[in-house]
Amino acid sequence: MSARSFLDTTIVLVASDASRSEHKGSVACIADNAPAEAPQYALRELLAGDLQNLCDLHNRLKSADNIGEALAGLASLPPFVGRKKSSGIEEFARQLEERFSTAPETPLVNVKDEMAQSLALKIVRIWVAACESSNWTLVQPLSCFRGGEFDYGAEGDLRAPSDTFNCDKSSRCSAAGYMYDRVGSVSKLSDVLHPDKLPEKLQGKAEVASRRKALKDLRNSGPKSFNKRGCRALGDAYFVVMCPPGASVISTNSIDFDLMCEAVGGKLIVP
Amino acid sequence: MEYSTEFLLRPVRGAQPLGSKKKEIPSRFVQQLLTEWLDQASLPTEVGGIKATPVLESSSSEIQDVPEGNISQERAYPHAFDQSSPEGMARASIANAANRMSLALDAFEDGDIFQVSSRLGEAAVSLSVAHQKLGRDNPLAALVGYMKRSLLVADVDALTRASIEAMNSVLLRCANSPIMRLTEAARQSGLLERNGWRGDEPAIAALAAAVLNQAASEDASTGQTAIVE
Repeated sequence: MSARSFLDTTIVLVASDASRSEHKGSVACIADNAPAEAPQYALRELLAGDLQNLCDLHNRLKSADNIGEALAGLASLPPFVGRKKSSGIEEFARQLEERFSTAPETPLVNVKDEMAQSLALKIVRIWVAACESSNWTLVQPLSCFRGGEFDYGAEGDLRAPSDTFNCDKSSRCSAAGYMYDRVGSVSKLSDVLHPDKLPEKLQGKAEVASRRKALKDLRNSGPKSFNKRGCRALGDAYFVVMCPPGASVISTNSIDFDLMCEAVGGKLIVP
Repeated sequence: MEYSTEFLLRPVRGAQPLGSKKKEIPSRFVQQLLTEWLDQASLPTEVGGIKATPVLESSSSEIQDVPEGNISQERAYPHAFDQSSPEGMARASIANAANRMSLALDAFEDGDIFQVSSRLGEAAVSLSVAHQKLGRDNPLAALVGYMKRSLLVADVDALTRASIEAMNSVLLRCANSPIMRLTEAARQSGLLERNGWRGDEPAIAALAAAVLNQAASEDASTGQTAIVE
């Protein structure tokens, strides 16, 4: 009997980026648990999260006139990875220094353009792989999500598919609609994420608090009145609730999933 | 003279059917008409020793429909095939790099690893020349830069037939159909990546690793490591 799996955003990202050291293991794990399905919500999260950050990085790099501006632009990015942000910038600065010390005559604009090209290609490569992978089937389409292709703008800036990282403003939240069909599971997750019941490792996490609030809002007011701003706060809860019966969620993030999977009798696989 | 007119017979994007009844069009007859029309109307003609060809808008960010296949691209974007234009010169350099990769495959089959290394270096030089000729916001330039860096940092001992074939295939794709969208450039670089090539710019690889919250991968700075497939 073959195992079925349901992929979250973290595993879709790793399996779509062949340059990562965890890539092979993740792809093998997905193959071991075939057939695999990825909800379109994973693409929506990938686009609005990591790829938006990288795209922002591209455009800041592209607009910088000197090294100082480039570094200042990077430093003013949102705290995308918490304390790892500074180490990323330090590594970037070290690589830049190495580049200029080995080829000091290279004009900055050439270096900058080549970096921007490389970054644009990396962003689009991840996006295309996530959308077109043969390792999984995309399921649970979202009418509020536009999708499409990245492209250069007239000034050389990198533009999101359909020119936005967000959902269609005129549509209501499709993800909330799917989840409300399993409102019993939504209730269970809302209960288990109560601050008094959280294990120590999840205590005080803003992400968990906002997730619980979004789940409560959905349970109490239904999908028609659900505030679209809560869509991303649903996050990991979406995958736990929407995982098909008999399938396992595959994620690289066990900390947030363990508790929720246990609450609804779901199974989690971490490569 | 024979021309492929198949692309002209494809439905126009966004076109709406005028009636509910589908009219049968004698495709052979239409094709013949189109071929004659192309012969008469849109062939390059020489004026005062200079070849005049129909020029269409070709800014990379404004490409609406990239025609598939060699002949249609040559018709739609003649400047990219004109050897006196920067794009045409770039294309010639890419073709030269493809030729070097074919020689690398010969050397690989002979087990001459030093010759393989030399051929990769030659191909990288050709791509460096091509890269300098291409516009900065051109998806082809991004792909050419990726290939150039991949060749420069390649671990020759880790090369396989599949990796060389993949590189040669992408080079030929670029030489034959140089106009492409960013998505297609990404697909082609993905093919290379899946076959073991690593062409991300090192500083960008380091920064992207931090953004994507991943452990620093040794692949980013040392180039090609494990060859998949």
